[in-house]
Amino acid sequence: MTMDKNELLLFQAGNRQFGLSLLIVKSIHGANVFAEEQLGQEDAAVGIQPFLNQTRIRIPNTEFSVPLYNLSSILAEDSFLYHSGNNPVSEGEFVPDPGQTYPCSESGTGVKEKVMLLNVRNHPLALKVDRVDGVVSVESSQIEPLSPIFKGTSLDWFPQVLKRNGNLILILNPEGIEGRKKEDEEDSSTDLTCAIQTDAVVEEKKHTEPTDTASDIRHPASNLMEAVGTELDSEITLTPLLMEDIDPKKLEGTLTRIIKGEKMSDMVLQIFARQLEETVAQEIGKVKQFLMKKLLEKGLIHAEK
Amino acid sequence: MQKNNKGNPSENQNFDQKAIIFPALIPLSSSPDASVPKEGKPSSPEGKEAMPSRPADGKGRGEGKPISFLFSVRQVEDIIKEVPVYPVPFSPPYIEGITEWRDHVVPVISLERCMGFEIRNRKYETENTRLIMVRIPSPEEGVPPSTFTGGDTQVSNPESRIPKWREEKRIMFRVSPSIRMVPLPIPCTPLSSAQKRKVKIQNLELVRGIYEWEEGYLVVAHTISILLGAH
Repeated sequence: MTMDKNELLLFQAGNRQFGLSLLIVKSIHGANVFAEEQLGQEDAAVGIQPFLNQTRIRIPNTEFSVPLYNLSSILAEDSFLYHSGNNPVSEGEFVPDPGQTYPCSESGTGVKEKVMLLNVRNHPLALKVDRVDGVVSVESSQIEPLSPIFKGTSLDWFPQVLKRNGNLILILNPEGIEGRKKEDEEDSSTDLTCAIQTDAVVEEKKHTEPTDTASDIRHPASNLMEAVGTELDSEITLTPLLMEDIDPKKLEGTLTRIIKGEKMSDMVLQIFARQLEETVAQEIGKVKQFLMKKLLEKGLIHAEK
Repeated sequence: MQKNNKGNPSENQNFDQKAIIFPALIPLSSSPDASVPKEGKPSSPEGKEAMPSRPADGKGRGEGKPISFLFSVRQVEDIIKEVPVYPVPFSPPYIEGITEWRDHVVPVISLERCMGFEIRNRKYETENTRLIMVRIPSPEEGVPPSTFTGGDTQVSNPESRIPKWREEKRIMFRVSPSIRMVPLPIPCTPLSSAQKRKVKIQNLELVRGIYEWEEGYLVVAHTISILLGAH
């Protein structure tokens, strides 16, 4: 009988250990690499509200920023959010107000804090944690779903538990942080939009910048044991990270499917020729129009829809 | 007290011949509305009288009678003194966390908090207590709705919203150390809806039945509703 293996990244946040699927971890960096930015007026102008004390980090040498959640403070036992279920059972589970700023504990010294860059269903996401402990390979039998007595935020964030060496380790579901899973199921076009945006940026860089193979990139999939065995240093640059981060086969497969299926090669290449987010967004609108037109021609959808 | 056959939970064939009874925990804090009962006698050897922590009408405390919880021995799989409990962020305060028991991950909860009692002294709540493991069989296995109900118990047919699950679920309750095993039947009388309000249990949907017996009130928890969150 064969047992499925799962690779989990273990990390500390709020002086407690949590787990995370290694598959979605793209890279780990020292927290001091990034400059955090508060969500500002320009975010509000386009309808982005801070969620769970969310900030953003800007990827060096690029125009792109990634939402950052400071788990070190959110999951600290003295934070408001941690004990946010202070309501009777009859009043239900805690549901955070997306626009509300919650008092959290002070973060650590920042010296050893790490930022994990994730790719969650083509959505970039960054998590700040106290430290990274390591990667473990566990059998599926060691992972159990959380009891149905848990509801709401606690279940969204930690749907599974790892039994390991007599300890129980909550496995974080990054999609639950922003409640993104439901949105994705409702609107699959969001995936396409973000995929094109992300891939477009990477592809553009592939063609415009040389690859620095000697760069100090800590990719969990390739350097995980080294990365987790020692504290990761912070001398990391992100430009080569983006280039190495994308699996060429995966990218090629995705593009092939798009081209074969929808004959959108010209449009895709046009997007790759541009890098500015605004322009990409405009082009995505054109892509949608083009896609709708093709689908109408093929009779896959009706005009009234 | 007269025996009421209609409401006697032992009448059901699915109910085993013995039951586990333990008094509800109360805070040790000296809050005037929660510490010393005006009437009734202690039901536990330690003299910790189980009372609803909120006064029923400003004059008394649920008529001043001790409250005890009752489980069938068939439901209780284990009684433990202490286990490591791992808190789960964002969970409501009645859930202490999770623990591992015989290779199962189970939630640990406070029955009193869940029912709506105020437990103000957490230290008391976790010191010198016991943990009982209660199994909740799959609905497919069958939990007759009428197993514990008696009188005009106001349970809004919670079985109708029970999702199916294959394996039985479990909840670990933190309870008073004064656990007794008593033979059945127990002479008792089911409370009417109006009488239940005197007991001041806020979340009656979590209760299968409340009975008056010689030592006060007996509360039979609705474990499936507790498991499902009672929202």
